[in-house]
Amino acid sequence: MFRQVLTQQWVSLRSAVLVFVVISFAVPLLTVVYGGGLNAGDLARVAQWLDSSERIGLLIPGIALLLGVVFGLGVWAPDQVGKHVYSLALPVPRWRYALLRFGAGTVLLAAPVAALGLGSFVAAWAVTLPTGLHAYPAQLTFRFALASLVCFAMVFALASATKRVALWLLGGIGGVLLADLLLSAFGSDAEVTAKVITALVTFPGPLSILTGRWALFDV
Amino acid sequence: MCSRWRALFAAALLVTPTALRGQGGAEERSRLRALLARADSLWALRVAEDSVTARGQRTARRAQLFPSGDVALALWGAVSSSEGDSMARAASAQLSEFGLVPGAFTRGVVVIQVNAADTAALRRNPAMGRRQPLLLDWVPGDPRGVEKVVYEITRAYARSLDSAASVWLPPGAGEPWSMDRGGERALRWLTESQTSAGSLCLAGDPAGCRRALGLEDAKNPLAARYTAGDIRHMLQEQRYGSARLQACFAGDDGSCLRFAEESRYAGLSPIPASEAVRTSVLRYVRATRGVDAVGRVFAGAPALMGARFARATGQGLDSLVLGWRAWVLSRGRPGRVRTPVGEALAALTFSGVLILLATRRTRWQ
Repeated sequence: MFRQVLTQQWVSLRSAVLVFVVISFAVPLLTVVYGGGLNAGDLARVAQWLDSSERIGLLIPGIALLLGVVFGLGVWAPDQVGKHVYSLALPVPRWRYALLRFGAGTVLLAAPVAALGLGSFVAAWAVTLPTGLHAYPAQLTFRFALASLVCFAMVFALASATKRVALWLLGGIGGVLLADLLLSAFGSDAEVTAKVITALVTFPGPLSILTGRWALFDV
Repeated sequence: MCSRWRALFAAALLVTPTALRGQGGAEERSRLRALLARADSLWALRVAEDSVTARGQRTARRAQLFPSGDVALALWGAVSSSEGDSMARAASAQLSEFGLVPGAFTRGVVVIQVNAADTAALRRNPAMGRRQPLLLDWVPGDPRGVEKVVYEITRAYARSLDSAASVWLPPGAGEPWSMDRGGERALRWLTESQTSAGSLCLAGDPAGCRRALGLEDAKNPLAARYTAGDIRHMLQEQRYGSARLQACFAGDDGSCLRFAEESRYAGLSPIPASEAVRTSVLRYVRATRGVDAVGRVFAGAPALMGARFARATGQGLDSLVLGWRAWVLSRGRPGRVRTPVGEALAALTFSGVLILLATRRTRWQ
Protein backbone atom coordinates (compact mmCIF):
# COMPACT_ATOMS: atom_id res chain seq x y z
CA MET A 1 0.00 0.00 0.00
CA PHE A 2 2.94 2.28 0.72
CA ARG A 3 3.98 2.02 -2.93
CA GLN A 4 0.54 3.16 -4.11
CA VAL A 5 0.55 6.15 -1.77
CA LEU A 6 4.11 6.98 -2.82
CA THR A 7 3.18 6.74 -6.51
CA GLN A 8 0.19 8.98 -6.00
CA GLN A 9 2.28 11.58 -4.17
CA TRP A 10 5.02 11.41 -6.77
CA VAL A 11 2.46 12.11 -9.48
CA SER A 12 1.09 15.12 -7.65
CA LEU A 13 4.45 16.46 -6.44
CA ARG A 14 6.92 15.50 -9.15
CA SER A 15 7.27 19.03 -10.56
CA ALA A 16 7.99 20.40 -7.11
CA VAL A 17 10.43 17.57 -6.40
CA LEU A 18 12.34 18.25 -9.60
CA VAL A 19 12.47 21.99 -8.99
CA PHE A 20 13.77 21.48 -5.46
CA VAL A 21 16.30 18.91 -6.62
CA VAL A 22 17.73 21.43 -9.07
CA ILE A 23 17.75 24.27 -6.52
CA SER A 24 19.27 22.13 -3.77
CA PHE A 25 22.00 20.90 -6.08
CA ALA A 26 22.77 24.39 -7.37
CA VAL A 27 22.97 26.32 -4.10
CA PRO A 28 26.22 24.78 -2.75
CA LEU A 29 27.78 25.15 -6.18
CA LEU A 30 26.75 28.78 -6.16
CA THR A 31 29.21 29.29 -3.29
CA VAL A 32 32.03 28.29 -5.60
CA VAL A 33 30.80 30.41 -8.49
CA TYR A 34 30.01 33.44 -6.36
CA GLY A 35 33.13 33.14 -4.25
CA GLY A 36 35.39 32.82 -7.26
CA GLY A 37 38.27 30.43 -7.70
CA LEU A 38 40.48 29.77 -4.74
CA ASN A 39 43.77 28.00 -4.69
CA ALA A 40 47.07 28.13 -2.87
CA GLY A 41 48.20 31.18 -4.82
CA ASP A 42 45.04 33.14 -4.33
CA LEU A 43 44.85 33.51 -0.58
CA ALA A 44 43.80 37.14 -0.80
CA ARG A 45 40.33 35.97 -1.71
CA VAL A 46 39.71 33.99 1.46
CA ALA A 47 37.65 36.77 3.03
CA GLN A 48 35.47 37.01 -0.08
CA TRP A 49 35.20 33.25 -0.08
CA LEU A 50 34.07 33.05 3.52
CA ASP A 51 31.65 35.92 2.94
CA SER A 52 29.99 34.23 -0.01
CA SER A 53 29.85 30.92 1.80
CA GLU A 54 28.09 32.54 4.72
CA ARG A 55 25.67 34.55 2.59
CA ILE A 56 24.70 31.61 0.46
CA GLY A 57 24.46 29.45 3.54
CA LEU A 58 21.64 31.69 4.71
CA LEU A 59 19.57 30.49 1.77
CA ILE A 60 19.68 26.86 2.84
CA PRO A 61 17.34 27.01 5.87
CA GLY A 62 15.02 29.07 3.67
CA ILE A 63 14.98 26.26 1.13
CA ALA A 64 14.30 23.76 3.92
CA LEU A 65 11.34 25.84 5.07
CA LEU A 66 9.97 26.19 1.57
CA LEU A 67 10.44 22.50 0.97
CA GLY A 68 8.49 21.70 4.14
CA VAL A 69 5.65 24.01 3.18
CA VAL A 70 5.32 22.72 -0.40
CA PHE A 71 5.64 19.06 0.51
CA GLY A 72 3.54 19.33 3.68
CA LEU A 73 0.65 20.85 1.76
CA GLY A 74 1.26 18.73 -1.33
CA VAL A 75 0.97 15.33 0.33
CA TRP A 76 -2.58 16.11 1.49
CA ALA A 77 -3.60 17.79 -1.75
CA PRO A 78 -5.06 14.67 -3.46
CA ASP A 79 -7.27 14.03 -0.40
CA GLN A 80 -8.50 17.58 -0.32
CA VAL A 81 -9.27 17.53 -4.04
CA GLY A 82 -11.16 14.26 -3.70
CA LYS A 83 -12.94 15.40 -0.51
CA HIS A 84 -11.31 12.47 1.35
CA VAL A 85 -13.57 9.95 -0.40
CA TYR A 86 -10.65 7.80 -1.55
CA SER A 87 -8.98 7.74 1.83
CA LEU A 88 -12.25 6.96 3.64
CA ALA A 89 -12.81 4.08 1.27
CA LEU A 90 -9.49 2.49 2.19
CA PRO A 91 -9.55 -0.37 4.70
CA VAL A 92 -6.92 1.20 6.97
CA PRO A 93 -7.24 3.14 10.19
CA ARG A 94 -6.71 6.86 10.13
CA TRP A 95 -3.39 6.82 11.99
CA ARG A 96 -1.90 4.30 9.58
CA TYR A 97 -3.02 6.28 6.59
CA ALA A 98 -1.46 9.45 7.99
CA LEU A 99 1.78 7.59 8.63
CA LEU A 100 1.77 6.27 5.07
CA ARG A 101 1.32 9.79 3.76
CA PHE A 102 4.09 11.08 5.99
CA GLY A 103 6.42 8.22 5.06
CA ALA A 104 5.84 8.76 1.35
CA GLY A 105 6.42 12.50 1.77
CA THR A 106 9.67 11.80 3.64
CA VAL A 107 10.87 9.55 0.81
CA LEU A 108 10.20 12.32 -1.70
CA LEU A 109 11.92 14.77 0.63
CA ALA A 110 15.04 12.63 0.47
CA ALA A 111 15.57 13.59 -3.18
CA PRO A 112 16.31 17.32 -2.60
CA VAL A 113 18.35 16.43 0.49
CA ALA A 114 20.45 14.02 -1.56
CA ALA A 115 20.79 16.67 -4.28
CA LEU A 116 22.08 19.19 -1.74
CA GLY A 117 24.53 16.61 -0.42
CA LEU A 118 25.76 15.87 -3.93
CA GLY A 119 26.08 19.57 -4.77
CA SER A 120 27.99 20.18 -1.54
CA PHE A 121 30.46 17.37 -2.18
CA VAL A 122 30.99 18.49 -5.77
CA ALA A 123 31.59 22.08 -4.57
CA ALA A 124 34.01 20.85 -1.92
CA TRP A 125 35.94 18.77 -4.44
CA ALA A 126 36.09 21.64 -6.91
CA VAL A 127 38.22 23.89 -4.72
CA THR A 128 41.56 23.86 -2.98
CA LEU A 129 41.27 25.43 0.41
CA PRO A 130 44.16 26.93 2.36
CA THR A 131 45.24 25.32 5.61
CA GLY A 132 42.77 25.98 8.34
CA LEU A 133 39.73 26.30 6.11
CA HIS A 134 37.49 23.30 5.64
CA ALA A 135 34.43 22.20 3.73
CA TYR A 136 31.59 20.64 5.68
CA PRO A 137 29.37 18.92 3.08
CA ALA A 138 28.24 16.02 5.29
CA GLN A 139 27.35 18.23 8.26
CA LEU A 140 25.50 20.64 6.01
CA THR A 141 23.49 17.85 4.39
CA PHE A 142 22.59 16.31 7.74
CA ARG A 143 21.44 19.66 9.08
CA PHE A 144 19.44 20.33 5.95
CA ALA A 145 17.77 16.91 6.23
CA LEU A 146 16.71 17.56 9.80
CA ALA A 147 15.53 21.10 9.07
CA SER A 148 13.47 19.91 6.09
CA LEU A 149 11.96 17.12 8.17
CA VAL A 150 10.94 19.51 10.95
CA CYS A 151 9.36 21.97 8.50
CA PHE A 152 7.64 19.16 6.63
CA ALA A 153 6.25 17.66 9.85
CA MET A 154 5.01 21.05 10.97
CA VAL A 155 3.12 21.83 7.79
CA PHE A 156 1.99 18.21 7.44
CA ALA A 157 0.38 18.33 10.90
CA LEU A 158 -1.19 21.71 10.19
CA ALA A 159 -2.57 20.60 6.85
CA SER A 160 -4.11 17.52 8.41
CA ALA A 161 -5.68 19.46 11.25
CA THR A 162 -9.31 20.48 11.58
CA LYS A 163 -10.49 24.02 11.01
CA ARG A 164 -10.85 24.38 14.76
CA VAL A 165 -7.17 23.64 15.31
CA ALA A 166 -6.21 26.07 12.56
CA LEU A 167 -8.37 28.70 14.22
CA TRP A 168 -6.78 28.00 17.62
CA LEU A 169 -3.35 28.37 16.06
CA LEU A 170 -4.17 31.58 14.26
CA GLY A 171 -5.84 32.85 17.42
CA GLY A 172 -2.68 32.06 19.37
CA ILE A 173 -0.48 33.96 16.94
CA GLY A 174 -2.93 36.86 16.89
CA GLY A 175 -3.04 36.84 20.70
CA VAL A 176 0.71 37.12 20.96
CA LEU A 177 0.76 40.01 18.50
CA LEU A 178 -2.11 41.72 20.33
CA ALA A 179 -0.36 41.31 23.66
CA ASP A 180 2.70 42.94 22.14
CA LEU A 181 0.65 45.87 20.85
CA LEU A 182 -1.12 46.37 24.18
CA LEU A 183 2.10 46.18 26.15
CA SER A 184 3.81 48.70 23.91
CA ALA A 185 0.74 50.97 24.09
CA PHE A 186 1.08 50.98 27.88
CA GLY A 187 4.77 51.80 27.61
CA SER A 188 6.05 48.38 28.57
CA ASP A 189 9.35 47.17 27.14
CA ALA A 190 8.26 43.53 27.17
CA GLU A 191 8.41 42.11 23.65
CA VAL A 192 6.25 39.02 23.68
CA THR A 193 6.58 38.19 19.98
CA ALA A 194 10.35 38.53 20.04
CA LYS A 195 10.57 36.37 23.16
CA VAL A 196 8.35 33.68 21.66
CA ILE A 197 10.34 33.63 18.44
CA THR A 198 13.62 33.56 20.36
CA ALA A 199 12.37 30.65 22.46
CA LEU A 200 11.38 28.76 19.32
CA VAL A 201 14.61 29.27 17.42
CA THR A 202 17.04 28.95 20.32
CA PHE A 203 18.04 25.55 21.65
CA PRO A 204 16.16 23.62 23.04
CA GLY A 205 13.46 25.31 20.95
CA PRO A 206 12.04 23.04 18.24
CA LEU A 207 13.10 25.36 15.41
CA SER A 208 16.69 25.85 16.59
CA ILE A 209 17.72 23.57 13.77
CA LEU A 210 16.86 26.34 11.32
CA THR A 211 19.26 28.82 12.90
CA GLY A 212 22.99 28.55 13.57
CA ARG A 213 25.78 28.11 11.06
CA TRP A 214 25.03 26.96 7.53
CA ALA A 215 28.24 27.80 5.70
CA LEU A 216 29.67 25.07 3.48
CA PHE A 217 33.19 26.46 3.86
CA ASP A 218 34.37 27.60 7.24
CA VAL A 219 37.31 27.72 9.57
CA MET B 1 0.23 101.32 36.23
CA CYS B 2 3.64 100.37 37.40
CA SER B 3 5.30 101.64 34.22
CA ARG B 4 3.50 104.97 34.57
CA TRP B 5 4.96 105.45 38.08
CA ARG B 6 8.42 104.55 36.75
CA ALA B 7 8.11 107.14 33.99
CA LEU B 8 7.01 109.82 36.47
CA PHE B 9 9.93 108.99 38.77
CA ALA B 10 12.45 109.21 35.92
CA ALA B 11 10.98 112.55 34.80
CA ALA B 12 11.27 113.94 38.33
CA LEU B 13 14.94 112.96 38.47
CA LEU B 14 15.65 114.69 35.20
CA VAL B 15 13.80 117.87 36.16
CA THR B 16 15.51 118.13 39.59
CA PRO B 17 19.10 116.77 39.18
CA THR B 18 19.89 117.13 42.87
CA ALA B 19 22.18 114.72 44.66
CA LEU B 20 20.36 111.84 46.23
CA ARG B 21 20.69 111.18 49.89
CA GLY B 22 23.69 108.94 50.64
CA GLN B 23 25.76 110.27 47.78
CA GLY B 24 28.80 112.32 48.55
CA GLY B 25 30.18 115.25 46.66
CA ALA B 26 31.85 115.43 43.24
CA GLU B 27 35.07 113.85 44.56
CA GLU B 28 33.22 110.90 45.96
CA ARG B 29 31.36 110.40 42.66
CA SER B 30 34.60 110.54 40.75
CA ARG B 31 36.17 107.88 43.03
CA LEU B 32 33.16 105.65 42.60
CA ARG B 33 33.24 106.06 38.83
CA ALA B 34 36.94 105.10 38.77
CA LEU B 35 36.19 102.10 40.94
CA LEU B 36 33.37 101.03 38.66
CA ALA B 37 35.57 101.50 35.58
CA ARG B 38 38.26 99.34 37.19
CA ALA B 39 35.71 96.65 38.05
CA ASP B 40 34.37 96.74 34.49
CA SER B 41 37.86 96.43 33.10
CA LEU B 42 38.71 93.49 35.38
CA TRP B 43 35.45 91.78 34.48
CA ALA B 44 36.08 92.21 30.75
CA LEU B 45 39.57 90.78 31.21
CA ARG B 46 38.20 87.83 33.16
CA VAL B 47 35.54 87.15 30.54
CA ALA B 48 38.19 87.30 27.80
CA GLU B 49 40.43 84.90 29.70
CA ASP B 50 37.67 82.48 30.58
CA SER B 51 36.06 82.27 27.19
CA VAL B 52 36.75 81.81 23.54
CA THR B 53 34.81 83.20 20.61
CA ALA B 54 33.89 80.73 17.96
CA ARG B 55 31.49 81.46 15.11
CA GLY B 56 30.45 84.68 16.78
CA GLN B 57 29.58 82.97 20.05
CA ARG B 58 31.47 83.40 23.27
CA THR B 59 32.05 80.13 25.11
CA ALA B 60 33.05 79.90 28.74
CA ARG B 61 36.12 77.75 29.18
CA ARG B 62 36.96 77.98 32.88
CA ALA B 63 37.78 74.41 33.82
CA GLN B 64 35.26 72.49 35.87
CA LEU B 65 35.85 69.03 37.20
CA PHE B 66 33.82 65.92 36.35
CA PRO B 67 34.97 62.90 38.32
CA SER B 68 33.26 59.55 37.78
CA GLY B 69 34.61 56.16 38.71
CA ASP B 70 38.34 56.20 38.05
CA VAL B 71 38.09 58.92 35.42
CA ALA B 72 38.45 62.65 36.11
CA LEU B 73 37.74 65.19 33.38
CA ALA B 74 38.38 68.92 33.49
CA LEU B 75 36.14 70.45 30.84
CA TRP B 76 35.18 73.98 29.86
CA GLY B 77 32.52 75.76 31.81
CA ALA B 78 30.39 75.78 28.67
CA VAL B 79 29.97 72.00 28.99
CA SER B 80 26.78 71.27 30.86
CA SER B 81 27.12 69.28 34.02
CA SER B 82 24.96 66.49 32.62
CA GLU B 83 27.12 66.20 29.50
CA GLY B 84 30.35 66.27 31.49
CA ASP B 85 29.09 63.71 33.99
CA SER B 86 27.83 61.43 31.26
CA MET B 87 31.17 61.67 29.39
CA ALA B 88 33.17 60.79 32.47
CA ARG B 89 30.78 57.97 33.37
CA ALA B 90 30.81 56.50 29.85
CA ALA B 91 34.60 56.70 29.60
CA SER B 92 34.99 55.03 32.97
CA ALA B 93 32.55 52.26 31.97
CA GLN B 94 34.30 51.75 28.65
CA LEU B 95 37.70 51.42 30.27
CA SER B 96 36.40 48.97 32.88
CA GLU B 97 34.55 46.95 30.26
CA PHE B 98 37.73 46.26 28.33
CA GLY B 99 40.05 46.02 31.32
CA LEU B 100 43.16 47.09 29.44
CA VAL B 101 44.07 50.17 31.49
CA PRO B 102 44.32 49.43 35.22
CA GLY B 103 42.06 51.50 37.45
CA ALA B 104 45.11 52.61 39.45
CA PHE B 105 46.58 54.20 36.33
CA THR B 106 43.32 55.95 35.42
CA ARG B 107 43.08 57.30 38.95
CA GLY B 108 46.49 58.86 38.46
CA VAL B 109 45.54 61.06 35.51
CA VAL B 110 43.17 63.94 34.88
CA VAL B 111 42.05 64.62 31.33
CA ILE B 112 41.96 68.37 30.72
CA GLN B 113 40.17 69.85 27.76
CA VAL B 114 42.55 71.82 25.55
CA ASN B 115 42.43 75.61 26.18
CA ALA B 116 40.61 75.13 29.46
CA ALA B 117 41.21 78.22 31.61
CA ASP B 118 42.24 78.50 35.23
CA THR B 119 43.50 74.94 35.53
CA ALA B 120 45.83 76.19 38.27
CA ALA B 121 42.85 76.32 40.61
CA LEU B 122 42.11 72.75 39.63
CA ARG B 123 45.66 71.73 40.38
CA ARG B 124 45.34 73.22 43.85
CA ASN B 125 42.62 70.66 44.54
CA PRO B 126 44.43 68.12 46.75
CA ALA B 127 42.72 65.18 45.04
CA MET B 128 43.57 66.39 41.54
CA GLY B 129 46.95 67.97 42.14
CA ARG B 130 48.75 64.65 42.20
CA ARG B 131 47.19 63.44 38.96
CA GLN B 132 49.13 63.58 35.71
CA PRO B 133 47.39 65.99 33.31
CA LEU B 134 46.47 64.72 29.82
CA LEU B 135 45.22 67.06 27.11
CA LEU B 136 41.89 66.36 25.46
CA ASP B 137 41.45 67.84 21.98
CA TRP B 138 37.69 68.05 21.99
CA VAL B 139 35.07 70.79 21.64
CA PRO B 140 31.51 70.64 22.96
CA GLY B 141 29.21 69.13 20.39
CA ASP B 142 31.75 66.65 19.03
CA PRO B 143 30.11 63.23 19.51
CA ARG B 144 33.47 61.45 19.83
CA GLY B 145 34.18 62.91 23.27
CA VAL B 146 34.15 59.60 25.13
CA GLU B 147 36.26 57.89 22.48
CA LYS B 148 38.82 60.68 22.71
CA VAL B 149 38.99 60.49 26.49
CA VAL B 150 39.54 56.71 26.34
CA TYR B 151 42.10 57.20 23.58
CA GLU B 152 44.11 59.73 25.59
CA ILE B 153 44.11 57.57 28.70
CA THR B 154 45.09 54.45 26.73
CA ARG B 155 47.82 56.34 24.93
CA ALA B 156 49.22 57.64 28.21
CA TYR B 157 49.09 54.11 29.59
CA ALA B 158 50.95 52.77 26.55
CA ARG B 159 53.65 55.41 27.03
CA SER B 160 54.06 54.39 30.65
CA LEU B 161 54.95 50.82 29.66
CA ASP B 162 58.32 49.40 28.67
CA SER B 163 59.43 50.05 25.10
CA ALA B 164 58.30 46.71 23.60
CA ALA B 165 54.80 47.00 25.07
CA SER B 166 54.64 50.72 24.36
CA VAL B 167 55.31 50.17 20.65
CA TRP B 168 52.97 47.22 20.43
CA LEU B 169 49.91 48.59 22.25
CA PRO B 170 47.67 50.60 19.88
CA PRO B 171 46.38 53.78 21.55
CA GLY B 172 42.98 53.18 19.99
CA ALA B 173 42.71 49.72 21.54
CA GLY B 174 40.31 50.89 24.24
CA GLU B 175 37.76 52.37 21.87
CA PRO B 176 34.43 50.58 21.32
CA TRP B 177 35.00 47.50 19.22
CA SER B 178 32.71 45.16 17.36
CA MET B 179 33.34 42.10 15.26
CA ASP B 180 31.48 43.77 12.40
CA ARG B 181 33.89 46.69 12.25
CA GLY B 182 37.11 45.91 14.08
CA GLY B 183 36.93 42.19 13.36
CA GLU B 184 36.28 42.82 9.71
CA ARG B 185 39.34 45.05 9.45
CA ALA B 186 41.46 42.36 11.07
CA LEU B 187 40.01 39.77 8.71
CA ARG B 188 40.78 41.95 5.70
CA TRP B 189 44.34 42.44 6.86
CA LEU B 190 44.80 38.73 7.50
CA THR B 191 43.41 37.67 4.15
CA GLU B 192 44.92 40.46 2.08
CA SER B 193 48.23 40.79 3.87
CA GLN B 194 51.08 42.24 1.83
CA THR B 195 53.73 40.58 3.97
CA SER B 196 54.95 37.03 3.74
CA ALA B 197 54.50 36.64 7.50
CA GLY B 198 50.82 37.58 7.14
CA SER B 199 50.35 35.11 4.28
CA LEU B 200 52.00 32.35 6.30
CA CYS B 201 49.72 33.20 9.20
CA LEU B 202 46.68 32.92 6.97
CA ALA B 203 47.96 29.56 5.78
CA GLY B 204 47.99 28.37 9.39
CA ASP B 205 51.68 28.71 10.26
CA PRO B 206 51.97 29.88 13.89
CA ALA B 207 55.49 31.21 13.34
CA GLY B 208 54.11 33.44 10.58
CA CYS B 209 51.41 34.71 12.93
CA ARG B 210 53.95 35.43 15.66
CA ARG B 211 56.11 37.40 13.24
CA ALA B 212 53.20 39.26 11.67
CA LEU B 213 51.82 40.22 15.07
CA GLY B 214 55.19 41.33 16.36
CA LEU B 215 55.20 38.93 19.27
CA GLU B 216 58.77 37.76 18.86
CA ASP B 217 62.15 39.25 19.65
CA ALA B 218 62.24 42.82 18.38
CA LYS B 219 65.97 43.61 18.34
CA ASN B 220 65.89 43.98 14.58
CA PRO B 221 62.21 44.16 13.71
CA LEU B 222 62.60 44.73 9.98
CA ALA B 223 64.94 41.82 9.38
CA ALA B 224 62.91 39.58 11.65
CA ARG B 225 59.47 40.43 10.36
CA TYR B 226 59.86 41.43 6.73
CA THR B 227 61.53 39.75 3.81
CA ALA B 228 63.31 41.70 1.09
CA GLY B 229 60.40 40.73 -1.17
CA ASP B 230 57.96 42.30 1.29
CA ILE B 231 59.99 45.51 1.33
CA ARG B 232 60.16 45.64 -2.47
CA HIS B 233 56.43 45.06 -2.66
CA MET B 234 55.64 47.75 -0.12
CA LEU B 235 58.09 50.35 -1.43
CA GLN B 236 57.19 49.99 -5.08
CA GLU B 237 56.19 53.62 -5.36
CA GLN B 238 59.62 54.77 -4.17
CA ARG B 239 61.59 52.46 -6.45
CA TYR B 240 63.35 55.27 -8.30
CA GLY B 241 64.52 56.97 -5.09
CA SER B 242 67.99 56.48 -3.68
CA ALA B 243 70.75 54.35 -5.17
CA ARG B 244 70.36 51.83 -2.38
CA LEU B 245 66.67 51.44 -3.15
CA GLN B 246 67.45 50.97 -6.82
CA ALA B 247 69.93 48.27 -5.80
CA CYS B 248 67.16 46.72 -3.74
CA PHE B 249 64.87 46.60 -6.74
CA ALA B 250 67.74 45.28 -8.83
CA GLY B 251 67.68 42.21 -6.61
CA ASP B 252 70.06 42.96 -3.73
CA ASP B 253 68.14 41.80 -0.66
CA GLY B 254 70.61 43.34 1.78
CA SER B 255 70.08 46.78 0.23
CA CYS B 256 66.38 46.51 0.83
CA LEU B 257 66.81 45.95 4.55
CA ARG B 258 69.53 48.56 4.86
CA PHE B 259 67.42 51.13 3.03
CA ALA B 260 64.47 50.49 5.29
CA GLU B 261 66.63 50.72 8.42
CA GLU B 262 68.51 53.83 7.31
CA SER B 263 65.39 55.69 6.28
CA ARG B 264 63.68 55.00 9.59
CA TYR B 265 61.70 52.10 8.26
CA ALA B 266 60.75 54.03 5.11
CA GLY B 267 57.15 54.11 6.16
CA LEU B 268 57.13 50.45 7.19
CA SER B 269 55.77 49.75 10.62
CA PRO B 270 58.12 47.79 12.89
CA ILE B 271 55.15 45.50 13.44
CA PRO B 272 53.54 44.24 10.21
CA ALA B 273 50.11 43.81 11.80
CA SER B 274 48.06 46.99 11.75
CA GLU B 275 46.66 48.58 14.90
CA ALA B 276 43.26 47.06 14.16
CA VAL B 277 44.80 43.61 14.02
CA ARG B 278 46.68 44.05 17.28
CA THR B 279 43.51 45.33 18.89
CA SER B 280 41.73 42.20 17.67
CA VAL B 281 44.32 40.08 19.49
CA LEU B 282 43.45 41.87 22.72
CA ARG B 283 39.76 41.48 21.99
CA TYR B 284 40.31 37.78 21.39
CA VAL B 285 42.01 37.49 24.78
CA ARG B 286 39.08 39.30 26.35
CA ALA B 287 36.51 37.09 24.60
CA THR B 288 38.21 33.83 25.52
CA ARG B 289 40.00 34.58 28.81
CA GLY B 290 38.05 37.44 30.30
CA VAL B 291 38.66 41.05 31.24
CA ASP B 292 41.30 40.25 33.85
CA ALA B 293 43.48 38.50 31.28
CA VAL B 294 43.62 41.68 29.16
CA GLY B 295 44.85 43.64 32.17
CA ARG B 296 47.43 40.93 32.96
CA VAL B 297 49.00 41.22 29.49
CA PHE B 298 50.54 44.58 30.31
CA ALA B 299 50.88 44.17 34.06
CA GLY B 300 53.99 42.71 35.61
CA ALA B 301 57.62 42.75 34.68
CA PRO B 302 58.72 43.94 31.23
CA ALA B 303 58.92 41.14 28.69
CA LEU B 304 58.53 40.47 25.00
CA MET B 305 54.94 40.70 23.85
CA GLY B 306 54.73 36.98 23.16
CA ALA B 307 55.85 36.17 26.68
CA ARG B 308 53.40 38.71 28.06
CA PHE B 309 50.48 37.08 26.23
CA ALA B 310 51.54 33.58 27.23
CA ARG B 311 51.86 34.68 30.85
CA ALA B 312 48.50 36.46 30.88
CA THR B 313 46.48 33.73 29.19
CA GLY B 314 48.28 30.69 30.59
CA GLN B 315 48.46 29.05 27.19
CA GLY B 316 51.21 28.48 24.66
CA LEU B 317 51.85 31.27 22.22
CA ASP B 318 51.31 29.05 19.16
CA SER B 319 47.97 27.90 20.49
CA LEU B 320 47.04 31.50 21.24
CA VAL B 321 47.88 32.85 17.78
CA LEU B 322 46.17 29.97 16.01
CA GLY B 323 43.12 30.46 18.20
CA TRP B 324 43.12 34.16 17.36
CA ARG B 325 43.47 33.35 13.64
CA ALA B 326 40.50 30.99 13.73
CA TRP B 327 38.50 33.53 15.72
CA VAL B 328 39.16 36.28 13.19
CA LEU B 329 38.47 34.05 10.21
CA SER B 330 35.20 32.87 11.74
CA ARG B 331 34.38 36.47 12.76
CA GLY B 332 34.10 35.40 16.37
CA ARG B 333 31.25 33.01 15.74
CA PRO B 334 31.08 30.08 18.08
CA GLY B 335 31.79 27.46 15.46
CA ARG B 336 31.33 25.86 12.10
CA VAL B 337 28.20 24.18 10.77
CA ARG B 338 27.33 21.24 12.98
CA THR B 339 24.32 19.66 14.55
CA PRO B 340 24.77 18.76 18.20
CA VAL B 341 22.97 15.63 19.43
CA GLY B 342 20.66 17.74 21.59
CA GLU B 343 19.57 19.86 18.66
CA ALA B 344 18.98 16.81 16.48
CA LEU B 345 16.99 15.14 19.25
CA ALA B 346 14.91 18.29 19.76
CA ALA B 347 14.13 18.40 16.04
CA LEU B 348 13.24 14.71 15.87
CA THR B 349 11.11 14.86 19.03
CA PHE B 350 9.25 17.87 17.74
CA SER B 351 8.64 16.13 14.42
CA GLY B 352 7.44 13.00 16.26
CA VAL B 353 4.97 14.99 18.34
CA LEU B 354 3.63 16.68 15.23
CA ILE B 355 3.18 13.36 13.45
CA LEU B 356 1.40 11.99 16.50
CA LEU B 357 -0.93 14.97 16.44
CA ALA B 358 -1.48 14.51 12.72
CA THR B 359 -2.55 10.90 13.26
CA ARG B 360 -4.99 11.86 16.02
CA ARG B 361 -6.68 15.02 14.82
CA THR B 362 -8.54 14.67 11.61
CA ARG B 363 -11.17 16.11 9.40
CA TRP B 364 -12.85 12.74 9.48
CA GLN B 365 -13.73 12.95 13.16
